[in-house]
Amino acid sequence: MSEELKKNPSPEENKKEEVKKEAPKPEAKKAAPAAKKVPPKPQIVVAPKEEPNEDWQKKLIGELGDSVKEAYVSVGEFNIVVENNENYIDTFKKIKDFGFDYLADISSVDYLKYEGAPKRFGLSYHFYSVKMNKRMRVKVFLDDGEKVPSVMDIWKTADFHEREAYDLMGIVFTGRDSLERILLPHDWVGHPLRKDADKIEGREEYTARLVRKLREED
Amino acid sequence: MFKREIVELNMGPQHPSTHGVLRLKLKLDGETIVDLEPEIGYLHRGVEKLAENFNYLQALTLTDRLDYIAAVSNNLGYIETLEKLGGVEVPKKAQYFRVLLTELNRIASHLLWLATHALDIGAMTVFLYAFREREMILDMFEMYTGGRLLTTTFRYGGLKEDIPEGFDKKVKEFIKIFPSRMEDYEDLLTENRIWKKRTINVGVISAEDAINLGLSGPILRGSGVPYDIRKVEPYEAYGEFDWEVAVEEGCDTYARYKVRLKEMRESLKIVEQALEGMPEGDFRAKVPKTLKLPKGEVYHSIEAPKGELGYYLISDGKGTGPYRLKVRGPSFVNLQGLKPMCKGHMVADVVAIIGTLDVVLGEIDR
Amino acid sequence: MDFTTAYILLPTAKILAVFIVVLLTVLFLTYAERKVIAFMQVRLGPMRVGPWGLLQPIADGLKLFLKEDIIPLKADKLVYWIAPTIAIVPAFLSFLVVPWGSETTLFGLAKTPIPAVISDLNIGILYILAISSIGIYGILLGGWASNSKYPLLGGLRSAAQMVSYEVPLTLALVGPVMMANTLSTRGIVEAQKGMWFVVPQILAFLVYIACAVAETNRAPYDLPEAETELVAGFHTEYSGMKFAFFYLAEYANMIVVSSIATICFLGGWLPIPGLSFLPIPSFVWFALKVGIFLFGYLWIRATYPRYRYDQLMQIGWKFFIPVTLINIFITAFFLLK
Repeated sequence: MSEELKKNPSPEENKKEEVKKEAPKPEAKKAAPAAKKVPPKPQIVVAPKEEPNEDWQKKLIGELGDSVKEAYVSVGEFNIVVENNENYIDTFKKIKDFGFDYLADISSVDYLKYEGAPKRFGLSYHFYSVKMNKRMRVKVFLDDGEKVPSVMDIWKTADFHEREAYDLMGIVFTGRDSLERILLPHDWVGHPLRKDADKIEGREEYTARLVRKLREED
Repeated sequence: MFKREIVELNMGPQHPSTHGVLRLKLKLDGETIVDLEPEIGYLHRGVEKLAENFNYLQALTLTDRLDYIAAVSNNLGYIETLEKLGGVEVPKKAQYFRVLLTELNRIASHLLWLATHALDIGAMTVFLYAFREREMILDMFEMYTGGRLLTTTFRYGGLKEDIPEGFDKKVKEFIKIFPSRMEDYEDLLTENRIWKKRTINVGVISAEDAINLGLSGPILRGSGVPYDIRKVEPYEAYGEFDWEVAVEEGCDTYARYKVRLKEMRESLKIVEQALEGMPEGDFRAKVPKTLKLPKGEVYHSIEAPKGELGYYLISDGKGTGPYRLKVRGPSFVNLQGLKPMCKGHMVADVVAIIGTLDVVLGEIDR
Repeated sequence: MDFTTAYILLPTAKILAVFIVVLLTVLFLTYAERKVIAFMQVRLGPMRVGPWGLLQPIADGLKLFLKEDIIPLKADKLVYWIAPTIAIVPAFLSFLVVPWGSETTLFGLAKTPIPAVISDLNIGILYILAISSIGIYGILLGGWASNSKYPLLGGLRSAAQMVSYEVPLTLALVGPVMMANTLSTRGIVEAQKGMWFVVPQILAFLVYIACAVAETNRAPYDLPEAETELVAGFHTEYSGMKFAFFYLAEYANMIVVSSIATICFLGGWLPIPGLSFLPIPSFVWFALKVGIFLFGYLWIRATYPRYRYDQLMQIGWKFFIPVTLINIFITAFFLLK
């Protein structure tokens, strides 16, 4: 794991890549108006963020206190951003006690090529409350290699979701019994959903090993 | 006198009743399950990674291949997710037709569940009866989309095409025939002594555990939790129809069986109402040809036949495809219920419980 | 009748006739099963080989005969070889005492009509029960010798199941035997000339039907080969002719138990009371009755789900055995009076 982490590109390299990505765009835009006569729209439309104004949202923010780093409503969805610190598990326990008993999903995101994300990775917990019939999302941002406590003790359903996040995105969860790959073979190298997954070292050796094994079986 | 030995048995990935390529590592004491570990990923195609390299329309075709038994529901969930982020109002006609097709799909999916579930427990005839009716629904899908299984049904902002002529006739015929066919299934199973013996008190899970495990759909409703997204957060035109959420208190395989049968009846009611009340007008809202969504993120879930199907979409506002698309497949989460449900039961019950969970490996492995 | 005819020619002719008829019946029973169940399930069944697929069983047999014979690497080779034989031989041996009609001349071979049974043993029923229990060893050993887990589970299930169902099956037959006062199969049929035993022995008859289904591993008691649970149960690893032997044995056993039911409860070759004036040969009556039982088998298979292993044991020991015991007491009570 640690070797792999070192091989990930540093922030400078990330920036270079983004520049490269954007470089061909102006050409495309030049070609487009000639064909379609549509004026270019360079600015990115961003879904607006609003202040949470419903009672239960305010109450929840009040109960969580300092843990909440940011809270907003976007596309009609209530978001809370928390930090990965020693109060992490407590925050989730409070959320459950507040009524969000149904953990619908844990999604992992790689923000490598995404503008405006504070850190490289992110986890989004989607909650639903059966009693209140409300939904919310808890977001946490993580650096590369940063470990995050597991919420499996609070919601058993987190088991598969966390294994998947580890398997495909390489996010390590602590405080749970075993963290094995779930979808990929157990000896797989790398984490495919990372945005730089195409240049993971050791993949060729893995393929070679697999081919050798298959030949031996024949 | 005798040494007691725990036998490890590999069930699957090639096995008649693991519904695809599910592999279970069973630890058996005689025929009793001591421990069980599902091993998945044999059908992993990297749908989420592929979606990042596709544009929004292309990614729609990937959703067909998640739960391939209920492709229409998958399409609907994905398209609605895009529409939620794009803020598009879908015309009433499209909404009605979407509901109609999705409910037909729910019936088809439940029929396949009934067929395989009954076959797993040994009732062979129900299998073929259910397939006969499923065929009628697939014919309708073929008529509208050209595909029977992978339908790629809807488009951003509405439908791809107007409803074809003669479609309503087919639906009406189905509505006429289906209730009597349902009675045939029930005659064979519902009051059957062996069926009851094999399903009652098998795979029991309490409402509290079910919620904690994130189970959804008929499994959760079979444990007495009336959580149906069509009712609690109505999307499309679901709020305008008269129907009930199927809930049973039994918490066991028999309760889930009853829930699904009732759901088929309720779905038929919705189909009937949607067909009768089909409004006139546009079938698609005015949307740009090349779809670009604003920068932002959205999680949207619908009630697929198997449970809560959620899409978590992140758009960076630059590309024409998703930056990240995470699929919350109901089967993936429901599979977690297998272990607590199976413990202490026998090998034959594992088969019944896999059947009652109604998992589709295309959705689990993605 | 000279010695050669009486002790060599006639028995050989009888054996050959019975063997060929049974073999053909078994073959076409597989065809009938597929066709009958197909019609119950709104489909057609085999249609390709011959008219209405009539030659399908022959094509199947040919295919199995020509198939590669695979023996698993870690199988116990000797036992693996012997097991199918142990399964099939007793199944056919049971026909030794099955009377298929009242009297026959074997197409003019015998000058005077002789009893239509290969050998009228005075312990006929006992003989069938004894021989058919040997068949269980075939299944058990087959499951064990494969050295694979699914066959092992299947073999264990069948051992438990067949041993437990042998008991009520035998006890159910005690009633008719007591009433006929003989163990000879012919004797039992002839004792039913006044009234078929199905009437006074209705309890035993019903238990017998249920146990017979279990004894032959047929649905809803087909646990040893429960397809959706144990893949194919005890014969998972078998292929080719060895598999065909198990297959044939199962169907031959179906015919055996149906024949016993006919003999002990439905008056064997005797015509239906009141229809004796019809010019129908006795073997047709017999075949008809056996056919009804066989059809019942298929009907049950198309209708019912499968029992679970422990539930099967439960009804076997806690329900069938007490019922048959009670039946014996009742029969004895009335006979003594």
